[in-house]
Amino acid sequence: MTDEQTDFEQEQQETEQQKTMMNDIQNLGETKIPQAAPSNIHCLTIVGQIEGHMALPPKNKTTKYEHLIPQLVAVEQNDQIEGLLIILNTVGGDVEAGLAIAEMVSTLSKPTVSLVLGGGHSIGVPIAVASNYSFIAESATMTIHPVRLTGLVISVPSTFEYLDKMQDRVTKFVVRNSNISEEKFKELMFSQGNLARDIGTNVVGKDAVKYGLIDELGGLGQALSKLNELIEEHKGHNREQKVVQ
Amino acid sequence: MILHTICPLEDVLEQENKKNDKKLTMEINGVKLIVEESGVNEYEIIQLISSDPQHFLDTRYQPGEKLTMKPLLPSAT
Repeated sequence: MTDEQTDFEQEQQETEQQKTMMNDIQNLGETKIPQAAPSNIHCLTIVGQIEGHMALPPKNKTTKYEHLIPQLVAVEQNDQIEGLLIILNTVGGDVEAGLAIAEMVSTLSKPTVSLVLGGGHSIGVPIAVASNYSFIAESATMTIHPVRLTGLVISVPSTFEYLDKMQDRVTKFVVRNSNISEEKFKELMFSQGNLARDIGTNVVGKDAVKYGLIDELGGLGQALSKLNELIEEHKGHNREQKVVQ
Repeated sequence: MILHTICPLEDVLEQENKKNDKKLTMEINGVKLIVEESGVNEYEIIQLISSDPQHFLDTRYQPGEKLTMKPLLPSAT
């Protein structure tokens, strides 16, 4: 390569840099700030209502399905991301969107750890148990209660059957992805006298672990160290596989 | 749509008097931002949507920061 060529290339690079700098000034009002090293752990926060097929009125704080799904795909696809931490503080929401997120999390090939803080209610339960390992803060609670129907009821038997099927999707997923038995989960779901306006049970941190719904009591520190441990295991496993191949 | 939530449904679905909602979602450098128009070609960051925790340490994306820009496409509103 001649000096002229490298000079030309350098010049081009410089103008390119200037261009991006100009863009940054125009877009962000400042030049590029040195970026922190990318994190090998990504974090999904699931807060407020889980929004699905219908946009909820603006006063609801929502976690949008269309925001989460591409992030989950990126986590799976990006080699630099080694693990996913899911933080939940949700009151529930759309059944289909909740189950979709839960399925995406449970089928992710990278290590996942979830942490329930404050509340992981209703459809938040399947998302909490979808990860490889789940934590709940001691003060956090999870409300387990049946799915209810809103809107028009045309025929009672078929509506009941439909609702039962919807309920089954949630129950089956939770039972499949945690250590709780179907009987216990249903018992909690249909127990009376625990909730003021509904049947069901409000399960507090320690009890969630006792019932096998959640793996361990803990907070951010425990969740991150568990995730790092799983990442190391996952790496070791991958290496072994390569050797076998 | 079936909602499975502990919030009373009348609270979730209650419609407020429609205010002029000027919130937009935009993507800058691969980061999703929810912004609100705060002036002529000026937007204030309301929320940052990203799974990368480092983005939350970047002062450029902090809620409350102002962006000035020229939209290439006519704005949606």
